[in-house]
Amino acid sequence: MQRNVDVTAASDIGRDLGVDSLTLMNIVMELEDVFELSIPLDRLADVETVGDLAALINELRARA
Amino acid sequence: MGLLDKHLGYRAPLDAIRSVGADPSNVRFDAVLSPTEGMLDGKKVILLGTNNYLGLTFDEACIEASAAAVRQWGTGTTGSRFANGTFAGHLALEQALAKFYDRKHAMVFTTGYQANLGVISGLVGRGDHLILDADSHASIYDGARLSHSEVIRFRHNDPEDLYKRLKRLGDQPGGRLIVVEGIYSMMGDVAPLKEIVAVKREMGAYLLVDEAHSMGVLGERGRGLAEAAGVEADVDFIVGTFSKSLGSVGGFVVSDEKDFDLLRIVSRPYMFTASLPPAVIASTLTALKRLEEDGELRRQLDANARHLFDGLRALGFQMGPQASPIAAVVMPDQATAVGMWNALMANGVYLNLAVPPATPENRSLLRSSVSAAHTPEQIEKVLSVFAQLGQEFGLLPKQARQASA
Repeated sequence: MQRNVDVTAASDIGRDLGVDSLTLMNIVMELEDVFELSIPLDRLADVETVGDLAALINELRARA
Repeated sequence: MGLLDKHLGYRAPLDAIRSVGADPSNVRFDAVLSPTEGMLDGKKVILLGTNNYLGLTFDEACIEASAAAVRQWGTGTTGSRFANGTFAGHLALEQALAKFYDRKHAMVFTTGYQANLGVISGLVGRGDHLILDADSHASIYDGARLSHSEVIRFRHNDPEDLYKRLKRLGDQPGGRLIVVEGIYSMMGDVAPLKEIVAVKREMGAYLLVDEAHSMGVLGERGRGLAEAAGVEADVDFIVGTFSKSLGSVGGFVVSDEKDFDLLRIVSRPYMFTASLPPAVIASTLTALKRLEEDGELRRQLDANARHLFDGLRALGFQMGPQASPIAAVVMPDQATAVGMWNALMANGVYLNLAVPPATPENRSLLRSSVSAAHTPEQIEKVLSVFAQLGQEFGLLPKQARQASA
């Protein structure tokens, strides 16, 4: 993806950002390293927007 | 609004590929002449993408065993082992597999895909941790979904990354199962199993190796990567398939794990599907015997794999990291890959077009798989077609052809 896009909490990861499921899994692998956190793949089932993903990470961080 | 509307995003890319020539999802063979030759549109083509590693699909003994079994036992079992019972062949094949791998237990599934689904979902469940190589086959990912376990991916063939992710799990409760493949089906690269075993030992996890593409290919006795790497004792579960080196269809798991028999009553992809028909079991048993007794097949496969891989690399093509019976030629983009794939077929070479998302790192690949049954002349023919087309598509410099001639 070479184009510039505005990313907000409401951005739909697939529809607005053009991120397919495989790319999302790779992004999650990076996020696991950034936040030193395990993000199990089944938790991504409910993630549609950037805000959903941020909320999931915050929830997992709070629990860790 | 149709139910399939949600998949319409695939329509344009599929139509674009179809508009160039053949449909890679629907290549129609008029006839298959041998393990290495088929007829496409009335023309003879070399089969270089069929995973027929030992070339046993037309083996006389396998065919005879299959024919005898279909006459004696009928065309099908018409149900699952649980409901319709076990035939002598199922038991004989499970015993032969256990003996071949020197394991206590073996269990046969109706396809290789179901073997991964059935084993993974039987071994781990809610609250367990499943740690997968990121480039795992779809059957492993689907098994993961069916298991309801907590799935973590680690970077492809990276034992340090695996270590990091296992460590991150800390003292969370639940079992831990690592899943890797012997040879990865798209690029033909091999897992660093010794190093992975070291991580497994240190961190205390179970290890499953899918030897679908490495059974009959790697190891002195053909048992796969675990044998070749000398770490069989540390591999808890080996999953494999009959549809590649053994030339039929079906899958299996072998293990020494206690209470193994419980898998037969908890594994849904084992229980709720018809068992393999006797004819398939019979040819598989015969092929397994041939695999065990005929080391020459493996040596010929190895020689052929090197011939093709080294030849393609010498021409100047970008290849996967190492020679194995799977030789993947990396294309600069999908359009070139589709064009080359059609041109190869028109020039008598059939192999696999592999495009994203089925490929690692969104690469477009021309994926070939070599057989022990290929002759050196067939491989030379393939190399000369690649050399000619590589220049026509601007992938190779003009002098590359002279250098290789």
